[in-house]
Amino acid sequence: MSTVDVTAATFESTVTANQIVLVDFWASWCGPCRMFAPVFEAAAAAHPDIVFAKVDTEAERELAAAARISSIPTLMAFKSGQLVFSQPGALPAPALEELIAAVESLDLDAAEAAS
Amino acid sequence: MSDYTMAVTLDRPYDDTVTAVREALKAQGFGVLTEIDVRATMKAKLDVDVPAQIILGACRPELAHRALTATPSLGAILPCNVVVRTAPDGRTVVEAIDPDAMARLEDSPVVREVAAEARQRLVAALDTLAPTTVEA
Repeated sequence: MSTVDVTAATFESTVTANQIVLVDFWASWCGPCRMFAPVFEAAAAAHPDIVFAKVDTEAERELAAAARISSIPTLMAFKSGQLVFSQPGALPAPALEELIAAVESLDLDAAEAAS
Repeated sequence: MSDYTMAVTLDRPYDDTVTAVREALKAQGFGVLTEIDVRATMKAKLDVDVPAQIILGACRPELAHRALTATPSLGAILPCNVVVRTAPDGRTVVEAIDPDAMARLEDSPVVREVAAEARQRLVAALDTLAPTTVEA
């Protein structure tokens, strides 16, 4: 599956209506974002069961502010509508695969019980 | 990144990034008028150790002249500060004031015009910053 562009209007529904959602916050002027884009695209193609969303922080400034994006690129991961990962900086492909595996195996109930 | 800044996280060492930012600003016609080495200043004044951080005051004289001629009070928020600071995992953050925020503070046609050009040039400077190494 290819990546999907999300906006302030579609962000919440995208995150809550899907089991696992990764969100890439980016801007056209951000060199590391341009490097990360093909890595994100390739992962999207390899994991059709996961939603790979992209937020253009220039077009969606209010959404970026609401999401408390401190710097770009920032990658967020949601599972069952809950934010489980948020980190600035471009991830290399192997690290992105590790993150995907970790989010897939994450047991939210167990994590909640332990917290 | 905030309502008033533009920030990018780079896989690049701090010192190397400071050099790259200086060159990128120069290429866009910005001189660096002020420099505050935050780590050195905090150490000297308070004897505390903080992560490496520098605040570069970037100015493009013709833009500043237009802005100050139209609105002298803008001097209080000039020049455009560009901050370079270390981040976790060997990364470095470059964060610049978003001139649009200045235009929000002082909403006049001249300031909007100057801010738009300043933003375009700061974005172009940020655009040239990329990691030194590409990880597989």
